[in-house]
Amino acid sequence: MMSRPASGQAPGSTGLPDLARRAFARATLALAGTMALRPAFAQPAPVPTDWNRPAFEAKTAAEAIRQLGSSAPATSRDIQIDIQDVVENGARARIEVHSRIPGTQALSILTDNNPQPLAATFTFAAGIDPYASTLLKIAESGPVRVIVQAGGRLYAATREVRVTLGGCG
Amino acid sequence: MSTIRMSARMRQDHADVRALLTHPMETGTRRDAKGQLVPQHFIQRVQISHNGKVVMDVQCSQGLSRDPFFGLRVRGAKPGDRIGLAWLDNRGARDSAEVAVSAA
Repeated sequence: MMSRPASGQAPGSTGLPDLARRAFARATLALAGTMALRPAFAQPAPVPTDWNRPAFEAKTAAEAIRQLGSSAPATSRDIQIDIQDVVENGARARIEVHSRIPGTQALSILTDNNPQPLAATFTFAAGIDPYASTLLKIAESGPVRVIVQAGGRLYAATREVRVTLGGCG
Repeated sequence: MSTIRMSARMRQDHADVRALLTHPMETGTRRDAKGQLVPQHFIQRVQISHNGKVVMDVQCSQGLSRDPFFGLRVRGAKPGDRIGLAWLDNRGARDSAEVAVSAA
């Protein structure tokens, strides 16, 4: 922040008595505290940096799904995947996903034939529609999978997609 | 200039939120004009908030398109409510923006 850490100053460099210096440090910290709070009203809190590296860097859909928490998710008809059967531009394939499984907490989208199949995991706050829409890269024709996490279990649905022009380059 | 273009409009009982981000989303497998591999460069995290509370949290990869798009539905939102979006990429770059929900 603005003030240098006290430990970085030579002893007695401020010329203030020890007690006064400590009081000043406390006041500075308190001020820093209020300043740190203020941006919360102006803009969202910083995005956390956690990222499921083992799942995202998995080379196969099966391994990515295992990293999401299950080797054998149950197939569900309550996961709706809206994507064109024939995608002309694999660089920008629109997909909409909706889960009707009660208690859905998160949904993940995987493109089997991409070098790293897991594209995204969406996690929803309680009461928020488990719906997400995004644009995928699809390297070549093959399955697009959605894995839903609900009540500590995983569920799966799959759509076969044909791609005219592959979208990884 | 902001990397975020976002709209939030009321549709029945929810706000329809659409956000288009400007980002190369490099896969790490593409070669430039000189034949050199272009390093991976992609958004890893996105959070969308409603009146300051996170409603959708995204972890993502280079498997999303260049200039990625995110759409969601925020049930219970009202006109004038604030919808925020913040992203973070694999190099630590970040951006955020906020819009007000507009009536249908």
